[in-house]
Amino acid sequence: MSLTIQALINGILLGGVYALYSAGFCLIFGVMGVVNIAHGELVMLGAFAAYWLFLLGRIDPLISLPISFGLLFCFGYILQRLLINRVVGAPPIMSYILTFGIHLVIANVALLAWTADFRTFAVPWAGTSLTWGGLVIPKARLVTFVLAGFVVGLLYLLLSRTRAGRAIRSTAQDWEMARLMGINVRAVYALTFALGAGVTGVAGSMVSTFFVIHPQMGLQYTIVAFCVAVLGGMGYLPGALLGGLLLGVVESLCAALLSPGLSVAVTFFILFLVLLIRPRGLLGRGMLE
Amino acid sequence: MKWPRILRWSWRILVADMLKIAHINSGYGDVQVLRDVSLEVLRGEIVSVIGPNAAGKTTLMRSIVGLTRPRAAEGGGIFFEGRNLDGLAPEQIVRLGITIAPEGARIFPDMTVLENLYLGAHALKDQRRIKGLLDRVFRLHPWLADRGSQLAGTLSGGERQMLSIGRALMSDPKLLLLDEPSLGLHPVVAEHVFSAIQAINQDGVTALMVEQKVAFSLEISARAYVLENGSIAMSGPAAELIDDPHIKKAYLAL
Ligand SMILES: Nc1ncnc2c1ncn2[C@@H]1O[C@H](COP(=O)(O)OP(=O)(O)OP(=O)(O)O)[C@@H](O)[C@H]1O
Ligand SMILES: [Mg+2]
Repeated sequence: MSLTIQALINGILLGGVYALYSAGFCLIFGVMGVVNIAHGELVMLGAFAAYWLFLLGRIDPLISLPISFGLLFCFGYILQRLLINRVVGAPPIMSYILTFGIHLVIANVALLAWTADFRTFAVPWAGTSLTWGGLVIPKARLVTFVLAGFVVGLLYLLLSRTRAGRAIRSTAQDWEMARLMGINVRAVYALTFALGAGVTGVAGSMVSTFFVIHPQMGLQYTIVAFCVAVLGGMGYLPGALLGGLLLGVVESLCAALLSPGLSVAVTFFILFLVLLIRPRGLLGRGMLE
Repeated sequence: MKWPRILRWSWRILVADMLKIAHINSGYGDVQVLRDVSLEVLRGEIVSVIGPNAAGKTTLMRSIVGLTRPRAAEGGGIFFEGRNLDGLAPEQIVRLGITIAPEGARIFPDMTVLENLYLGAHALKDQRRIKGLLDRVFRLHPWLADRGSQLAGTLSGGERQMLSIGRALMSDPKLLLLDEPSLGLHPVVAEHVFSAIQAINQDGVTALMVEQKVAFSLEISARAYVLENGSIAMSGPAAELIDDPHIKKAYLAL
């Protein structure tokens, strides 16, 4: 019994990790319809930012989160302005090709710069856990979980309560009409991608405190983010939270109760069912059918 | 030659037409829709454009706001208060004082009524002015005031149309483009929309309107153009066109 509860806790915490690094992917898809295949590279860059800041500057990853956010925000803004703006509104295949290219370039430049070594680094507090009646809660994951709720909540508030958020949502719904409201949609896209990249950088920094990092780590994160987005509804931000949690719990329960090897199979089976029965996500609020 | 600014401005405001379209062609890719279209709208007028389906009326509207790029012959183009709009992006054109209530309303469905209205005023900064404009819209359509938090996507067709016009007015336009404001509306509701347009016009807003309900629109217009097959087939004072045999036969079913 306590094994099941522990697996459930692990799953929920893992779900927080998934949600945190999928939120940006959902935001970007929701606003401009671009499936960003280079998403995992943003996670990787955020992770390496935390790594180097810790190694060279002795800055605790929690403290360096704003720096990761800022770096990835700027990187995302430039990427969108220079490249991705060219494929917004084009057939999806164009954005797949472009972002796949970006994925290859970033991953390989990172490989040249940082070698293929697997790296970890030990932040004193991040290695410890809270224990309670035999249940273990690793602190780093708990922080990530809280951060996921915080980031999604903040993005949600930004989108629903601010003038910039209103501009972003109107652009997502009807970009031609948004232009006729006097909105510069290219600037909106750049801001959106920058925000998405920024929070993904934060996610990468958190991930680096409990997972191994290396330049080629990106693709697996992109795949998970894609799954989370499908479960939650492509482009529906709160859906990232739900999709992440669901994926985390299913994976963790499968691994504990059935067999670790089966968890991927079960995950994809659920994904398949969702696509079949609820193509707009579990809540039916996604933008893609 | 560079004119002193004061002269340039007074020329624009006092002498130049509000909108002057001269010899433009427009279309989509290889498909040419508008052929050598010229048209003008004077300050304070309501001008109608009528014509059968697929004549290019919407294309004309899209060309004015820059969503579809018009091509002009030498010396031609689209001029707003004497200023050539060539090369300006839609978001720049609307900031000059043109606004549109597009075909099919195109309100933002996943946003509330109030958010839609505020988006109309997105280019404005002065909060007091925005409040004043909001009051004007509410005076025109009092029911909107009670529906501020309703999702626009749940409004009825007629309500959407009125919201779309209200949203357009929120930018405090000099020139209001209306693309079939009565599309799909019950005659009684359509009449209400037309009288709202008249009220807006009396408030000092110039209007260029595309309409299929020809009798209604000629009634409130000063002048009208007939667009057929992408070209202007006829034009003149609305009062004359309404008695024209061709118009009677083709558009008024008399
Ligand atoms: N985006 C587009 N791409 C290609 N062709 C288009 C496009 N939009 C319109 N057309 C074509 O241009 C022609 C004129 O269309 P337009 O919408 O301007 O007509 P309209 O006069 O507004 O008609 P209606 O009264 O039905 O609204 C039509 O033949 C239409 O098929
Ligand atoms: Mg039309």
